[in-house]
Amino acid sequence: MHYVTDKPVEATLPPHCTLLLIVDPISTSCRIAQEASKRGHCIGAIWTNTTDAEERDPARYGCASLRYKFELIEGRDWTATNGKEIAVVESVVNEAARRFKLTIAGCITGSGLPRSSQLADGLAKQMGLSTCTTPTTMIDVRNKFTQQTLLETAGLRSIKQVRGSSLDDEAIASFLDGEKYPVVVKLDQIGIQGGKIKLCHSKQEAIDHFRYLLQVVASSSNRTGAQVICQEFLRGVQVMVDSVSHNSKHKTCMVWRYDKRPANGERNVNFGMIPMESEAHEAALAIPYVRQCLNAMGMKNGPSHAKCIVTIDGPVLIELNFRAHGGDGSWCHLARALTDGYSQVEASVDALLDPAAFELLPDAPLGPFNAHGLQVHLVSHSAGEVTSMPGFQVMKHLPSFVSLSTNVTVGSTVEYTTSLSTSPGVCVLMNKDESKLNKDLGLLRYLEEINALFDYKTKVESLARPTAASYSKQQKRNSRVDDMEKPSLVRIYSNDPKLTRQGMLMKRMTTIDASKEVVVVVDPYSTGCLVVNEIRSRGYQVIACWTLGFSEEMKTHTPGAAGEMKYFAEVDEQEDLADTVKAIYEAAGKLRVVACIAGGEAGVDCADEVSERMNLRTNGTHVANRRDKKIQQELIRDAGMRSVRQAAGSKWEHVVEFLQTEHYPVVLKPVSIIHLCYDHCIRYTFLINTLEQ
Amino acid sequence: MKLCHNIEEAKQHFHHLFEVEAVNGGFNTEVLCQEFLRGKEYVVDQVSRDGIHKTCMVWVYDKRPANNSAFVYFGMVPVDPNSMEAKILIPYARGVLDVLGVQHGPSHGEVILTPTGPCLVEMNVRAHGGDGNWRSLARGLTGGYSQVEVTVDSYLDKKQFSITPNLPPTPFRASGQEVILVSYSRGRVIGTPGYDIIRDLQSFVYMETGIKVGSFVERTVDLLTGIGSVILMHEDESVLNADISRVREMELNNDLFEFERSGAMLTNASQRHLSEIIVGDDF
Repeated sequence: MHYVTDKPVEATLPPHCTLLLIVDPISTSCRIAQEASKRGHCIGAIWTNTTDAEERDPARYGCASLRYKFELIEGRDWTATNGKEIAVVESVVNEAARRFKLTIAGCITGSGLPRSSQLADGLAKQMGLSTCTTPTTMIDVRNKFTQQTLLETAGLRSIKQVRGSSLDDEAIASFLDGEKYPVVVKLDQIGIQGGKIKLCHSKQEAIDHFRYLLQVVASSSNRTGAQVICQEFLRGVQVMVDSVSHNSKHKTCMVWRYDKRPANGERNVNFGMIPMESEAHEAALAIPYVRQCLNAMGMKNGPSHAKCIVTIDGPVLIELNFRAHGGDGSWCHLARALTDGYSQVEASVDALLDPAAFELLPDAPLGPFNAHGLQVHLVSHSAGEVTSMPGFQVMKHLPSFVSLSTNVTVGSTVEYTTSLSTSPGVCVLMNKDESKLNKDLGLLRYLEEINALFDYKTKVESLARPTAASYSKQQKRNSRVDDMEKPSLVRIYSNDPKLTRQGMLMKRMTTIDASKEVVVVVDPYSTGCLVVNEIRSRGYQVIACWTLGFSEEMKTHTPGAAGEMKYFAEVDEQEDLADTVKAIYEAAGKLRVVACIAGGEAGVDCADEVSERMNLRTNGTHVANRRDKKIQQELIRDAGMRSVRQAAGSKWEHVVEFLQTEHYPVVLKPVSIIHLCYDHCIRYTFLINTLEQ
Repeated sequence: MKLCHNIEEAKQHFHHLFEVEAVNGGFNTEVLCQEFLRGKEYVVDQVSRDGIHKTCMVWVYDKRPANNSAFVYFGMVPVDPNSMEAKILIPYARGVLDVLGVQHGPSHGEVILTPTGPCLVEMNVRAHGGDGNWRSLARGLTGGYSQVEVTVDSYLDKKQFSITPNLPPTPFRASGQEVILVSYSRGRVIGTPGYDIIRDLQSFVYMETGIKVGSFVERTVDLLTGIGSVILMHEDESVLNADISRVREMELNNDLFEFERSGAMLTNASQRHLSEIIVGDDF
């Protein structure tokens, strides 16, 4: 891929000595951490108190295998004192790096939040590393209003807007007089209760909403000093431009277009995110514009995610985020497939740790794409408490299916989808063949329309006259997980840890993939054959292990109900346990041995030994001769339980006392009973002792 | 192995056992003398995982005198887990498993309920044998599972094992039992009309027998001379009982098999006497 370089190799540190610091590596930045980790770099996570324990778990973002070299959690490992936050963190980080003998190679922010961004930039500056933006305490380039002002200053197309806290303000009055309606009226801070954004179609409406918002601010408990913004309404296609910068050189990783349509009474519901080729009209306009915006805001290093609307008179930036495109990076598989190998995740790591590779990346994704695909935002046209997700099963079997991220499980409440937060999930579809992709997409949309994604809990009300039958208690069948789903042939489960974690796309009945696992059954005869068949019916392979001296005749003793026995392999017990285990491993080949079970009385000892040696579920051999009937009686007697009164010996003197005191009749038998293998015969041996009187 | 009724008999058999074993290969060095357990013999089939024991079924052997034998197996009858016997047997059997350190997999315990409490005959750390003929019955009684499924669950499916009931359901989902066929006559078989009648019983589930045309049937005195077993199960207990009675009736009337007539062997003295008289008339 892009590791090949014709430049002379510079003497750099080997990757395992380098440390990448990430402040709050959540969402996509966790994937960036994983990518860096895959390349051998060590990752140090610095957590601010904006995150909780659940958010700190990499598995949440599909990076279950990611291990941080160290994690520094605010409140646990460091505490910010007023104004000295950066110095505190720096000393803690330096100490950790010294302890692990690592050289800090970069420091980036993982979330777009101002605090972690400032911390990351501050640390980077302090340590002499490349910073994301030009650090300045004077202005906050992450504030949307500030961003527009910066654009205006740079002479770039920006949103026409004014901000103020009074209608008497001259700028506001002239804006409301002169601007083409509708206009957007909103607060400049989010999170204030009642501070709704409104599209106003007339001046009067705008003035009314302005006054309303002022009242909201005045009555809000925490007087934040929020102001009202009046903004032009942008018409056009909304696109997102994902870029990565290195030393102010920007490379575009992907351009996406939102598929917005009216649904559920809402005008702009997001139905999906479609990748755009760089040559497409909107992308061709947006890419150079976004780069100018990046320069205007002093973006120098790292990933960025810009949203803009391509209007009739050119693209206009809505917001620029100094972080990677979010959504837990579920789009990165798609992006990689389209561009033949890289996405914003890989490019970010290149920019940070491998500048030579970054140089080799194309300026923007080369067209045409290698495949067709999109990210579908699921839209629910119904609401209720979910009892099952049949649509997910269908979706999973679509030829174009790549991944599904959803929070909906049995018991969740699904709402009518009107925004991103009410969407039941995100599904990535991809196919080489565009017609097949469209067919799958059509089916998916159809599932949504007919409300086939979810089954909801219903309240049953008997409309007919109730009868005695409707009150009778239904006999509950003991439900076996596999009753309905007895695999006729194969049962393969996804290995995707993410799906496994969500636990909703399959029944987790096996550890991973039963067809790659094997169970050893020692001396499978009589009922043991039925056990073998039961194991095989669950998708596992079975190795038969025959103990020493087990007769050929008994091997063929299979119950009529079992039919012909099929084994993956048959092995014979060896004189030495180690050899037996070796023979089993050899027979299993690439399959994983997951259990060792006795198939009958004759196999119990061997099964205990083998399972103990192979570290499988075992009863072990710590109770010697557990099968010996005399020892069984002695053990239960020692435990204070009712046992058979008995005495044994090789000489008459050993037993005479017992025989003189015990009630007659008594049973006499040899201690080492030759083991009769067939159960009826065992019953028979006992029978004899009661019959011979 | 012998039941000895006094110390002299015991002493004689004690020495006899060493001689016999010596002939067979000489590996026996000890003789075990045990009290004779009086009481019904029960079977407790369980499966364990991580020391948690789940009882799959409790059975009791139906033993009665027949053909001059004190104890002939007539059947294996499921025991309601809510019955007094089961309430005594199950904790006892679980205690035995704990003492023996059996934490995983199937177990098949044989316990006699004596007047002084339950007493272990033997604990086998494997599934109940008998070719698993009881499996369909057990599944019917529990509503879907038997020791076979639970055994596989215990090793391979933690979740399923955890939701498997601690005890079989009570009352059972159906009525049924294993009927062990008893022969009250002997001879070479030339026809098996009884099989067809058994197969047509309403509660018929399964039959296993080694006797076919040409086999020689002995009077049943133990399991080896038993002629087969039949699994009967029906949701209606009265149907089951009627069918069991029908089978027992056929056994008593020797309707199961048609035997080769082998002259004097099967004819009684009075018949012989009659035939002689007829022969005499011819002269």
